[in-house]
Amino acid sequence: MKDSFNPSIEPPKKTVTLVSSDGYDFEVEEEVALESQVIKDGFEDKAVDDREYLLFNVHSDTLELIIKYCEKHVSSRKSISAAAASSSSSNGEEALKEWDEHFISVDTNTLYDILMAADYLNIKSLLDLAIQKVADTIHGRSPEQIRKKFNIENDSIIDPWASE
Amino acid sequence: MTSVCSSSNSQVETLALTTLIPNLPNDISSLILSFIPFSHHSRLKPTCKSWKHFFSSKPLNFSLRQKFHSHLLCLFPQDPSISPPFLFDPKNLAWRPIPPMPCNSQLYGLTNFISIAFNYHLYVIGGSLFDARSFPMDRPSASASIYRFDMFTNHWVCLSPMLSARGSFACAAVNGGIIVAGGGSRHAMFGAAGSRMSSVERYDVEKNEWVEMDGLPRFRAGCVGFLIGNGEEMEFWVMGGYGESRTVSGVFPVDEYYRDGVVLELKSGGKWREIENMWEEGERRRLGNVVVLDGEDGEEPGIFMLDGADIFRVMWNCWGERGGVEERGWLLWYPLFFPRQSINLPDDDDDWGSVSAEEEANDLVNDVDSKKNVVAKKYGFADNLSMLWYLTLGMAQFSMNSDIVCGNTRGSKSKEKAGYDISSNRWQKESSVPRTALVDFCFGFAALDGELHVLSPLYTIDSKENRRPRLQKKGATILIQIYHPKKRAWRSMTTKPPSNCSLDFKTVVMCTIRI
Repeated sequence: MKDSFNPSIEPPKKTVTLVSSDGYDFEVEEEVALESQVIKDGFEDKAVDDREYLLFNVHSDTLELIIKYCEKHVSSRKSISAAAASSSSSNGEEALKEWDEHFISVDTNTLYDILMAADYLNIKSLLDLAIQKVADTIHGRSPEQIRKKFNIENDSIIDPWASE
Repeated sequence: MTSVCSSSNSQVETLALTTLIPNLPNDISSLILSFIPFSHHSRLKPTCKSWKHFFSSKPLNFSLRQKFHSHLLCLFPQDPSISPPFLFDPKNLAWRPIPPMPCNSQLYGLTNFISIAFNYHLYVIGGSLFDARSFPMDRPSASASIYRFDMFTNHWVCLSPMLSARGSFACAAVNGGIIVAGGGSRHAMFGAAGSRMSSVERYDVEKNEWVEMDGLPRFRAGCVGFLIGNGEEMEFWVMGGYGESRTVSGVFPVDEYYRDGVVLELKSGGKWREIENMWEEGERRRLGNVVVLDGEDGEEPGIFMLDGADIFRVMWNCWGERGGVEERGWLLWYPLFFPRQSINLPDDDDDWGSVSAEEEANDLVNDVDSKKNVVAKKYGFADNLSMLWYLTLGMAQFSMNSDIVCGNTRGSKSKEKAGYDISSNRWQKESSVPRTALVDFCFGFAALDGELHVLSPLYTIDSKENRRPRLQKKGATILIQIYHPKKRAWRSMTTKPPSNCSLDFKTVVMCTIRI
């Protein structure tokens, strides 16, 4: 990275502390935290030394994943724009897509946690990614398989012999 | 989640009572379900009651889905009250029939109707049809009826009819209404033997009533209409079409195609102004299929025309590089298809009707002879034989059919980039369809998801030696060639329509609906 060569010119990275629901602190770079629209919205109003966010709805396991996602997206966005500036062709976007694909391939419970956290923090790209993942699972399956997969009770068939 | 901004609160409440996906909040679940393409909905409805309810509930569903909208193409192969229309999902290559329109036992053979989508409704408006009670029986009458199909409840509703009956008219959906302009009735065999009108009406969707508006300056039917601009400066453009008809040999009626257009400013009292001819005489016979590509994020819409195998567009910024009308393939066909120009008549109101078709043909041959060498050079025909074949073919077509539908031949195949601007009043070439069906130039043309879709039946070529086009066996495959105007790139795909559906793109009525 450029700033590692010349640390005196670049200001030190500003950080933000995110606190998970089970009380763990996560110190992340400002721009990584700003991926979340919720944090971004109230960001300027907050004092610089008071940039700590209590995320009551997000467990530390999920938060870790989300920070990983945001960091990856911030860094790859930089490298893509750098590649575009130097007009060298790169497959950065495709690589990111692949990474996303790999990232979201998790078990259903983790996926649900990511979904809810992304919704809570309002991270649009992650929310879309997770929703698309669930939607993909749905539209390749029959109703019976869907019921099994998502634990949905079958209330469609009305049993005529059932007593009221 | 802010996206649940339904107009109907009762829907939210009823949905809130049932869980869509266990362990997930309902707003997220409904987001997930709204990501599922429309073509899967009816299959997934039986999963459970709440899903069934979700997929059939339109207002909530619709407001959610507007964010993740996708375009579907609705095709009407024939009279929609007899053969069911189809929905086609180009993203998933899925087909779905929709129930046939309610029919009337006395009326049959509906053609030339217009289909337009407004919100999640599909409208079928007007058209020409035959009435078993009228005399003579083979004379079509225009229809004033308007039907609405609801995409979510799957039902047709008959709405209050237009004030004046019409078919093949210009039509566009404006805020809360539909405008129709011009039109008339159309004879199935001799298309020009029908009526034309200048009346303009507007339909109010909320009130379910039609209001008469300022009429067109001249009679005009078979025209296309679209909206340009937004908000205050919205304009309704009506282009092309035909007005007066004349007869060849005093028998066969022929249309007089317009080369100009008229514009209605919706804001300022609704007065029409005329725009000049959009192409030189002989450049093309008439306006091709026109589609409007919605602009993203307040951009101006793209207006595209498919003429023969070439795509033309209207450019909004003056590029100033319009010179050089590109070399088109009409020179050869010009005297055949545009006989009026070949005898060089000065004005429209002449005695064309008295010239017999035979004299006409002789004239043409002479005229063509003089031009043959030029043409042969231009097209690099090796001998006069192939020329002759072309000419004979052309003549045969001319004498058989006075109303030739595909007037234009294949233009030059160069992929030149050009722009049209309103001030220069010209359509300029955008691109050519890369794979042209070998027999005719009958394409379906539609704008879906920001791309232009050119649909045609797929012909196969067996080998290089045997270059005979062969139609595949029944239920032919459809080749869809898709042009992306921003990337200026073509891609293509093939799909098989439902087995019982034969599509003739000359008569298929198509409509894009956003779900």
